[in-house]
Amino acid sequence: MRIRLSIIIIGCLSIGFYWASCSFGSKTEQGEFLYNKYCENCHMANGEGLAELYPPLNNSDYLVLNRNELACQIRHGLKGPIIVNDIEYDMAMPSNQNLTEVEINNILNYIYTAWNNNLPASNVEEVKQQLSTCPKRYE
Amino acid sequence: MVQLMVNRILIFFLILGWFSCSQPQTPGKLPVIGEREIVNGDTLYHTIPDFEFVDQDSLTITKETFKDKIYVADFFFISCPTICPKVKAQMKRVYDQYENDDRIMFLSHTVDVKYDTVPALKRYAEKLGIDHKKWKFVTGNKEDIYGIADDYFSVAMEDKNAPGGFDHSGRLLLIDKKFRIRSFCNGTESDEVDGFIKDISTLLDEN
Repeated sequence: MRIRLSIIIIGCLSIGFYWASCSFGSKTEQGEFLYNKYCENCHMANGEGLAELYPPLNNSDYLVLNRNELACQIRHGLKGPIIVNDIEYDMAMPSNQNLTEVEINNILNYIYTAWNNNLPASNVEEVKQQLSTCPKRYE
Repeated sequence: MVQLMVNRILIFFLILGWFSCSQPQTPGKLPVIGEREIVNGDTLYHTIPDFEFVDQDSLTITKETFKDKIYVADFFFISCPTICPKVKAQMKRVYDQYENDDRIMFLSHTVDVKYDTVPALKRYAEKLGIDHKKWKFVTGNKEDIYGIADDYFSVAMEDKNAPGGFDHSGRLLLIDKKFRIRSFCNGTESDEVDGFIKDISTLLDEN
């Protein structure tokens, strides 16, 4: 009886695990999914942005130079001009207050390795730390 | 108003369906899209009515601006957080193909007349890097723009629940020299835009 019960429990657990891994996918997959939902409209599927309106995320010096503020920018949005690869961009970026730290981390990790990018991976601790100390201008 | 628009869109698709089923189009000729009526033996096609808007250089834009040209039209707003940037990227792709072709122009109507002022449109056009003589970004009376959207079989209306506050379609429309709609596509779908570009070539050959 006990053995049968444990077989059932193990069975259910493995089905649950299988289901979970299919539904949620890997972290990068979630990052890509969220990127397509929240970022791709402006930054485009190839990360190239559009002309001098929406800045590129692919081969972007801005990502390297402002890494410690990117999570704050995704959550709180961005206003005012910025320089990316020597070009000035000045369209407002909307905030995404509904995204969790884990989701923001997954988006960042997707961007860091998508297209030609090969930037060091981000982790949730780094994102949490950053979000708890966003500069005042993002509030 | 909404009912009227829904009706029009339905009729539009019915006619479109009729076209695709019963009347195989002549190779090398695009269909005329929209309602039509036969008066004294002549077929009257749906045409874009007269309009008067202001462009990014404060110039008055009317049908006269597009005299003897074909043009591509769309509806957008600058602060749009959803489909507009993608549609603009596709429209820019179309523009790039015909940048040096004087037979074609481009017309983008803002649906956000409050914020997309002439200077805002000018800055947007400059940042997009286009020829201001060839691609007009226009604003005007809200009612005029929302009204003409209907004639372009596009949706443009204020909607507090829509992201950014406006509801509008991401269609690109191809207008011929007689101000008749000859082709359209969903401006968010790159594949559809490829077909649309082919239609532009077909229409240019027709003229």
